Amino acid sequence: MQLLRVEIRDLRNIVRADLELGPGLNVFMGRNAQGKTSLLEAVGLLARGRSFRTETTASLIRRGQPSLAARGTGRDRDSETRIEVEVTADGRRLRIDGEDVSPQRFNGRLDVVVYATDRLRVIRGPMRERRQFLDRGAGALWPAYRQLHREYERVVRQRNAALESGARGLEAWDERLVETGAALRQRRGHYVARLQQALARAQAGRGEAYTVALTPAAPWDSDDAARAALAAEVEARRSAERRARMSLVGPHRDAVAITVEGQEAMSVASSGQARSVLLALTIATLDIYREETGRPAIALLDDLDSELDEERTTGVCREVAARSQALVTTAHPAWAERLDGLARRFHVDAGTVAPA
Amino acid sequence: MDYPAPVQKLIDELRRLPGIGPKSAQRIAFHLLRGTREDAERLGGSISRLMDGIRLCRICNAITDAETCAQCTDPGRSDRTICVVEEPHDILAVERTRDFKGRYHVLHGALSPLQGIGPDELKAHGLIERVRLGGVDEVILATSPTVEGEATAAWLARLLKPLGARVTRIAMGVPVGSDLEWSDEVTIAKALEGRRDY
Repeated sequence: MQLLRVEIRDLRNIVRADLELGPGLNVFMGRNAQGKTSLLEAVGLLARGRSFRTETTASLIRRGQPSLAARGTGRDRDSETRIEVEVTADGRRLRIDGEDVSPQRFNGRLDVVVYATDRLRVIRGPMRERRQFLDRGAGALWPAYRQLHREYERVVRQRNAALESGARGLEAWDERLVETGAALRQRRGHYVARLQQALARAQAGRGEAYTVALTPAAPWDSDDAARAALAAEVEARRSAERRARMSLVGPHRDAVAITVEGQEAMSVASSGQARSVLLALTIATLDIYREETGRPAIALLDDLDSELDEERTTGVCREVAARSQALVTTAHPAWAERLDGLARRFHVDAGTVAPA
Repeated sequence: MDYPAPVQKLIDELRRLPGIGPKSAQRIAFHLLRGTREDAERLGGSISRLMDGIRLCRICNAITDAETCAQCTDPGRSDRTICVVEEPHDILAVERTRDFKGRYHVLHGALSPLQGIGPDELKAHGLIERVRLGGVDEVILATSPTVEGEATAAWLARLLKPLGARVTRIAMGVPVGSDLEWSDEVTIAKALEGRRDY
C-alpha cells in the first residue's frame, strides 16, 4: 500500500499533524526532540497496531490526553483504504474504512521496514538480536512462520520446566523440540538464503561484501535430515542439559553471523560500518518483501545521515526511492536540500509539521 | 466503598471460576441479590450436592454417578477403538457427532511442566493397561492441537505403539462447511501441511 495522507492526534509531543505524502522519498527535517521519530512511529503504528520503539503502546499518548489516534489513507492498486488506530489507556481499536476490525484483519494492510539507531543492536548486540531480526523479517512475510516460532518458544519453555523438575516426561518434550525446532530451522534457513541473495545483488559492484549465515548451516537437504541433525545434537548435550536444567540446543541458540569482508561484523565494524551493514540488510528486506508479496513495503529510515557520509546517505536514498515509498528523518537539512526533485520535504518543529 | 462481607465473599468465590472476571462476578452476585431466596437456594443446593455421588468411571475416568460410565457400559459400542481426550467435556464434543461407536479414555489434563503436570499427574495408566490386555485395534489420540496436546499425543504414541495397537492422531485444518477464503492463514498452512493423497 502507498500512503497518500497521514493524520495524527496526540501522539507523544505531536498535538495534531496532517501530511500529504509523496510516492517516493519524504524527508522530515528538524532538530532533535521535535517529533520527527514520532511521525515514523505513527506510521509504524498504522502498520502493526503497535510501536516499533516501545512495548507499552499506551505510553505513546501525549501527556494529559485520554487517547491518541493515527489515520492513514492509502492506495493499493486502484482502491483507496482508510486505516485507523486509536489508543486509550485501556487498549486500542483498529479500524478499516471506519469499521472496527480484529488485529488479524488489520495487520498486513500496510507493511513497514524500519531502520533506526537502536536497531544497531542487530549488528553489534548479543546473538539473540540477530535471531530476532531474522524471525521478525520472516514472520512479517509468512504467518505460518510466526505461528511456528511461537509454538517453538512455548515448547522450549515447557521443556525447560521439565528439565527444572528433574526431567520427568522429558522424552515427549524432546520429540516436540526436535519436530518444531527442525521445522523452524528449515524455514529460517530458507529466509537467510533469500536475504543473502538480496544482499549480494544489492552490493554487487560495491566496495564491501556483506554476508549473513547460520551456524549450524541451514536449510538441510530434507526435513528428515534437519530432524536427524537436531535429534543428534539433543542426544549429544543430554547430560549438559540436565546439569544446566535448560534447553541448550535448537534454533533459540543457533548462531547468526553477519560479516563484512569475511570478518564478523559484531567485532570488527566501526559505527559507520555497522550502519552501512544495517542499511544493506534493510534494503535487502525491502527487496524480499516485494518479491514475495508483489507490492512494496514502506521504508521508515530514522536519523538516516547520522554517522554516514553524505555520498552514502544520498546513495541509500536513491536506492530506497527506486524500490518503495520512504519516510526519512534527519537533523541536517543541508543534504536534504540537495535531494530536491527526488524528495518531498517537511519541517518538524515542536510537534508541528509543515511542508518545506 | 466495600461491599458487605457476604456479598464480597461471593464475588471473590465467583472470580475463581474459569472465564469469570471481576465485572462478571459482580454482575452475577447482584443478579442473585435481586432474585428470590428460593432461586439462590436452588443454585446453592446444586453446587453443594455436586460432589455427592459423582466419581470417575473405573474404566475410562469419565465423570459418572455410577461405577462405570454410560459409554463404557453400552453394549452397542466396540471395545476395539479407544478415543483419548484431555477433559471429560471433550467426550460430549465427540459424542455430538453420533458417529463414533468406540470407547473413550479421559486423561484429565495434558503434559505441561510449567503448571507442574508431568506423566504422573495424568490418568494414563488405565489406558496402557486396557491396551496391554489386548482386543484394542486402534487408539485415536484426540488431544487438543496445542503445544501441550501435541506433546501429550507424542508421549502416548511412544508408550502405546510397542503394545501393538495402531495409534492415530486426529486431523487438523480448515473447518468443514466454511469458505476457504475466510479461514485464517495459520489454519490453512496447517491444513496444507497435513494434506493427503487422493
